[in-house]
Amino acid sequence: MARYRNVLLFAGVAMLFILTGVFQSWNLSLNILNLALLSAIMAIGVNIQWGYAGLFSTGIVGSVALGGLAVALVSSKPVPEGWAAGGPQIVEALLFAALAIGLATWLYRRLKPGANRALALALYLVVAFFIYRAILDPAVTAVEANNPAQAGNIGGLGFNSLLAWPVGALMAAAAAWIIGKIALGLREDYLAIATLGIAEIIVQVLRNEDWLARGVKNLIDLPRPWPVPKEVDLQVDPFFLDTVRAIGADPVTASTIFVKLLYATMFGLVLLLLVWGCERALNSPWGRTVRAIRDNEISAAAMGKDVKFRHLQIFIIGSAVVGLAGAMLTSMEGQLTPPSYLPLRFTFLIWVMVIVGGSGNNWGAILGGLLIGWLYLAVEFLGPQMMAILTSGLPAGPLKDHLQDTAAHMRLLTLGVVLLLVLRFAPKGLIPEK
Amino acid sequence: MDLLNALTAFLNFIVVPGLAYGSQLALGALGITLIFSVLRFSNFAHGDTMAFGTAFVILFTWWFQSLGITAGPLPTALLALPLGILVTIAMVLATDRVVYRYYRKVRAKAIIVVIVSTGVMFVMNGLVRMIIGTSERNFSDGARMMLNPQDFKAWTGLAEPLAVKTTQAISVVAAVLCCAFLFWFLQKTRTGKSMRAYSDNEDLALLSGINPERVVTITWILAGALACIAGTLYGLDKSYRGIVYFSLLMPMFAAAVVGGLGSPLGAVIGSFIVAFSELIVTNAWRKIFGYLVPPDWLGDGLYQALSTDYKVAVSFSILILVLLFRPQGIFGGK
Amino acid sequence: MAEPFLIGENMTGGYGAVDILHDCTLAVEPGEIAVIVGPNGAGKSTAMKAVFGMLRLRQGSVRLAGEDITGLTPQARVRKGMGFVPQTHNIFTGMTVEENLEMGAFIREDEGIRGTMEQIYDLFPILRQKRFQKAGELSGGQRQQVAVGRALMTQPKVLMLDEPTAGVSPIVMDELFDRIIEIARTGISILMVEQNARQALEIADKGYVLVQGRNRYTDTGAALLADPEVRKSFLGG
Repeated sequence: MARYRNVLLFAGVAMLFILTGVFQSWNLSLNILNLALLSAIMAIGVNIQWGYAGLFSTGIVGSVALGGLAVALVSSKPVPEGWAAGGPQIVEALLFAALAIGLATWLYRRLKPGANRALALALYLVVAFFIYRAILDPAVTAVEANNPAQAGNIGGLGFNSLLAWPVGALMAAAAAWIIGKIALGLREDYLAIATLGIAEIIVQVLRNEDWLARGVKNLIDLPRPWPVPKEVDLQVDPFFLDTVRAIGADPVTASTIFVKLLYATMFGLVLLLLVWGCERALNSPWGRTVRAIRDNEISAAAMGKDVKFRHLQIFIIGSAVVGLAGAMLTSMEGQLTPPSYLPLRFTFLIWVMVIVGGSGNNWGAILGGLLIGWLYLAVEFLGPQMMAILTSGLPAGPLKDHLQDTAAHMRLLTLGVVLLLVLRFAPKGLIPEK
Repeated sequence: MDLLNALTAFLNFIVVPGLAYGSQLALGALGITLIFSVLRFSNFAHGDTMAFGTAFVILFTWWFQSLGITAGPLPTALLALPLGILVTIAMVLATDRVVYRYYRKVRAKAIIVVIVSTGVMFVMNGLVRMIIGTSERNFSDGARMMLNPQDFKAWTGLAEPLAVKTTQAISVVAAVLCCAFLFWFLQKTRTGKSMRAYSDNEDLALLSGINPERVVTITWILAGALACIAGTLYGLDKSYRGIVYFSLLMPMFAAAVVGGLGSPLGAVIGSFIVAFSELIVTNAWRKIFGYLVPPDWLGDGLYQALSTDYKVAVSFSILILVLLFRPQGIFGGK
Repeated sequence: MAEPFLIGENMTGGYGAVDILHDCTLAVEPGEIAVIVGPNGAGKSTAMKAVFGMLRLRQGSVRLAGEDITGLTPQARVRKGMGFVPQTHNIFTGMTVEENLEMGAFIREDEGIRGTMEQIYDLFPILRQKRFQKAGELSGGQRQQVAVGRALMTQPKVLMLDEPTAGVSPIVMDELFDRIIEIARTGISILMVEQNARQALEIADKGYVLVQGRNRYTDTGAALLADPEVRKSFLGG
């Protein structure tokens, strides 16, 4: 019965995409589907953290942004002049910073506790910071001076964008390791507060460090991941044109739809692979430990399970999955646009997906991702249309303008209300955990 | 070597703005810490509660201005503030009634309530956007400067100006008055003591006949009023945009955690630590150093440790240091 | 025989599906000290919590001065004249001694709070000395005095103590017992759970030995101390 219900739910969501295709356009529908699939992967990452360990992170947007950065660094065109101008020196500066922090931790452990240690370490860190800036700053200036209109960054490696996906996961995992080390094992709110901060910093770095990925000047024209072709190439490909002609479709529309279908297939495969992996993991001895900890942290700790270590593991794995999705997103969009990394879009929206879908259940997370993903993006065209119909009787004027403006803000309000209603009346979500 | 000018520049760029910003943060962080100590969750909606209250203060200010009512040299917003506070209190009490009360009744885990508060944050943020939009709203009027930089230069004959904006002075005065009232209330009144008792030991407070719903109501009233005042002062000082209040969450949380979540005194001190750290780290010290060392020693650096874009990194680092070395905060807390 | 002042009669119940108490009866008269002893897990604390309304009873009733209070909440029982000192977390650690006492009198509307506070300072002189100190900074025995003082602030007719001497030194324990006798002499009924069975029974007018949630022996304190069975099984010979 429950299985039947779940199939119905997924069929209902599929219907939404089909209706969008029929009444708006298939391009739009597939576009939303691809973004929704990526959201579903992010939702799986969050669900790993929340459903398996009860960890509440408000820094999902940070992992997404790191995934995006990975794509920029791995796949964007190399800028040899920019790299030569200061690339190695920037790496030196970062290495110096890592070493300095490493030495600080080592000193902290070795020195005797007390005010002297605190003072000495603080002084050491201040001096180290200025040395770091002295190495970094000239290099950054040199890199950014190189052809600022088109480049001004250190450039990428020029590898295939597909390769950037695991790199994105790794970068998000590394950030999660640092934050988890500090904030886990304390009050659970602290993780929420700390992740809020680190995500904000990551996004600010992406916005402001032009040498890294051109900041708000955006990095465009990133190459497609293997095996996705460019639409313009398809449109001159004789085999493709023959096939299209055989069906009797317009080659331009067909090429865009073909590309989107290809993305949808790739994303779908990754999604299924992740779910399969998650289910396998949950039924392994590791999964049993994890569930034991979740169900009763105190007794699990008493039985000698290292709760903090498991939580750290889960936090890292979940963040890595989100980072992977972030990399996939950037490599599909073909550009890195730091201003688009908004916490509302990439942190809280994903949370709504997880909670609505059914926390602790991967299929629930996917359903939530697809459903809320569709809603969120569909409101973009449905909202103004509905407002236009509602206000069609009004004379043109400030009131009408104001009402039509508010349509755009309705989205936030609706998301909030949906989240509150689900938490209150169906806290287990659409597909409850078994 | 010009100590007087250096000192003036230091006052002008660090001390005056730090006191004003610290005061605004303190009023916000006090609300967060009060809610934490009584309702036992970190309220992510607090920043947007501030934005919500301020939005109404702005609407009332415009209304007063259209009626020709002003406060002379002081901003009209001060007259509108009581009305804004009432709306904010009504809003937080309604939210408590509709949303939070249920989770108290079922004794939900703190983290669930934190997630709920993010839902409330969405709703409030949406409301603020619908009421007043996302663009910058200027609602400051009256005399802009309490201490005019030109006047200061004329009086003292120093090269360096010192400016005190009216809004900065009001922020500090308001924070002092609010803190004095709050500490008097918590320490001396029966109701205030019952709040502390409830926050200290919920079960024993119940055994002593303290009515939890009353304590919760008073907490929301205080937090709502403080949020509205803090938001209005921040908006007056830095000009209002409904969406920037979300980014105040990080410094306010950092301030509350530094002082020890649940400790009002700690929240105030934490706020000033955060405010001054932010200014010291993001200030370009070139000017001040210029008065202290011969000019040819300086080179061409700005002597700025971090650009202002990274001010969130300052409060974050403070938070991290506290979590690493003293998770209970300076003043205990929970 | 007349009905006892406070009686929990034939109490059966527990926290979840499983009953912890089985047909258990406890009673105390004004000015009397009744002590509940028994092995670990015998349901001593549970029985006392049941009398105070912190446990839902499936059967049985609790009556105070003839009035059935079975359905009342603990808070309502405080208003009826019952005072309760929990075993742990029984003071407001962040508040001063005096504030603790003030909070104890929170439900009182009359003017006599100051007088009651003076009585408590007379009973526990050390508290008068430390009245402006935070209760959390006091020693274990002093904290227990604050806890008892707080409960006395409502001028209860019955004072219920859950292991008041847990974790304090023998000297402090004797001192606390002396104070408890003093309190009983003012006409207040005392019902307490004690881990230190022998010492507690020495001051008890009435003793209840519970085993697995049932009354095993009930008698005067002296009689129980003299009973060889009780001595062998529960008092270590």
